[in-house]
Amino acid sequence: MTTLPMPNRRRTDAVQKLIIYAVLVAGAVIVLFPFLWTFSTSLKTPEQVYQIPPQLIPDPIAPENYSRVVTDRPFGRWMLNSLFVVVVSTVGTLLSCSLAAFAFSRLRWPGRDKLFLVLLATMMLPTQVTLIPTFILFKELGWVNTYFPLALPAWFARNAFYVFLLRQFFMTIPLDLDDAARMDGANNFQVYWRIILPMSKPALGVAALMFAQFKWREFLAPLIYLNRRESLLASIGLRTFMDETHGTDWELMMAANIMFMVPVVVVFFFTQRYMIQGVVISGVKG
Amino acid sequence: MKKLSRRDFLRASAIGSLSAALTHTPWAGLAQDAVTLRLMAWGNPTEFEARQATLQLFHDSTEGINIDFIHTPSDYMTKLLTQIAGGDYPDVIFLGNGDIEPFVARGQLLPLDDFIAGDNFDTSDISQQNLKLYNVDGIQYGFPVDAPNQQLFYNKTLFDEAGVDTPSPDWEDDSWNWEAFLDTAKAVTDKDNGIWGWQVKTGFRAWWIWVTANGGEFFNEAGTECVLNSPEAVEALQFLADLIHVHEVAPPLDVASELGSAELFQSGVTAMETWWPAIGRMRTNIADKFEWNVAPHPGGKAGKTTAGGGTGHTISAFTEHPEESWEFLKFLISTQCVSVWTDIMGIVPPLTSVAESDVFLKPGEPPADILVFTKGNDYLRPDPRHAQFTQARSIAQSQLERLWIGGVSAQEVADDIVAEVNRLL
Repeated sequence: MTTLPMPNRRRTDAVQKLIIYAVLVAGAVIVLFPFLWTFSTSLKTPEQVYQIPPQLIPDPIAPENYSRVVTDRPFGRWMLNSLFVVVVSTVGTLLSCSLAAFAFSRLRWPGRDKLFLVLLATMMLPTQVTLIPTFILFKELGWVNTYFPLALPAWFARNAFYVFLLRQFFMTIPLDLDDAARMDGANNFQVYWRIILPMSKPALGVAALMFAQFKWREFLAPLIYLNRRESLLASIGLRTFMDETHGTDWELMMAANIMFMVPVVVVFFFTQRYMIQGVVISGVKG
Repeated sequence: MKKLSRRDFLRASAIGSLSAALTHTPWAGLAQDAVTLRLMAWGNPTEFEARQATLQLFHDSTEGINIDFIHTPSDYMTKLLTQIAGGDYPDVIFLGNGDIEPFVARGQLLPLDDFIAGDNFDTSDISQQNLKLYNVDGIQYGFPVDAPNQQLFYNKTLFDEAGVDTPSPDWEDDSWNWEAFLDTAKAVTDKDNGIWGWQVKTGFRAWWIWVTANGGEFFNEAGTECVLNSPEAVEALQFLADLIHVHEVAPPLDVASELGSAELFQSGVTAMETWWPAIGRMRTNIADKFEWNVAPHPGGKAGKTTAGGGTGHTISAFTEHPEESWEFLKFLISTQCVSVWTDIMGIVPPLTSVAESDVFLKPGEPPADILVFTKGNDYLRPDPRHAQFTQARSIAQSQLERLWIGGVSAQEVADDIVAEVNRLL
């Protein structure tokens, strides 16, 4: 809510606004410049990449970099692989974490809070510690070189953080609603599915976005579990452009980067409200 | 690219996952009695191309052995070590020579001596300096795929414009020493036109050459102590730092490190640069922009040296197919395979037969003094061999960054490195 400006203060308000906008625009330029640079490089020829002084708008432009990214390597395939893993594991995370969060926040059972502490403690373990035991587990299951190790754990509330996030949100919903539903004959699952979930859309949206973003960029697990070239994920595929010894083809690398960013930017465009809410709800930046 | 429908994709992933889950190697069952070896290797884009070409060659010339190439574009060691720790062993492993000793110490590599003796396998064509890098305590564990050593690349056009003599390609020529180098670097530096005489590379080997040329060492002989703060080593490090901060013949680190690799040299910004023999790529990148050549690094108090060593192929101690792996290893060091690898990679081959052939020499193409590389094998000072070297190196690398950025003395940094590394030993 903003108060209506008094007529005699209109001028000072305008000046104030001007300053605010100037600062914001300056900030935006600084933040956007790397993106602009990436995009500009992605349209350059190899010679233009190292040209001094650099051209921000390359002349001539080289859009063929984009087609080379998908023809020199199966980068399009890698993007689809990533999309598949992200979608499957995000759905799994939402369902399983919300179910666990429901149990931790709406149901009463012995040892609940102690178990919740144990769950939170798993957040303290660095990935590196569990890397080899987890690898052995999936190897014994014969799942190395498949997408199971990347997508399946998400269906078992593997990410304590999202259980925590959703539990905190569920706690803010009045218990009276549950009671009212139970009076009408709803069982636990119905309370969860019909009452809690629909009321938690903002929190679920936040969790989905944060998790999908993390999963899209995830590096270590796909590196360890995927062996075949055509089944790689895009986050790994980006590394195939790097060539420290012979020299990286920066224009291709940047074109691939842009392609890698597009899904994230598009999703952000439609859901920025949730993203910003995410910072408010969780106090964590995605 | 063929368009992939969502359904195709899902079907393919489902089938892929299922068959992988069932058989581990989906096509192992297709050919009767065929053995599938898992080759673990990294590969930047050029190496990937060389890898594909040589694997095709192997496929065409061999029956009954399939190669499943696990290409790891980055973080190779993380993946390899996790796999091995998890019991998912590759059969043939691509390893930098510096990693041989730690792997042998952990019992992860298969000794090759019995195979070599059993087959009467002739190793005399392999550069002995390089063969030794895959030998621990007299036992051979692998064969090199290349014999790269880092030399000094120079832009002859810039030298001619500045009226400066080019360095001699003769390894025994004493006049090409640090003083001569500094004079040359000063003479070709033209800051107004954005031309620098030299670029201080931050990679380990780029400074290791200077330390060894001055008689410095990383560890003492017993391997119980780091001795990088000896006067010889400190003098070398200070000399390099001074090229940036005192003599201003090398660009400050932020500019140089942004571009990395040989970009500055290839775009004509630096007149001299340390580089490993990625000659093929250099030829295409420079094309006819300017004339270039190679020479040994200038000699210090201990004469001329070079760093490098390269990479080789080893067999996992846990392989279920040692015989087939050995067959594959023999192919990888064959004249035929090394020729293809050398041709695509444009590097120095580990086989004399290939080093003397036109595949490597490419008459008429730069660098004119290409023999600097082959002769350089005798002056190779490989990376220090020590079980703790990998960690010690990363300590040194991060400490040295302070020296390259400026504001501290080499003595100070070297003392810090020694203190920190000695805690490891």
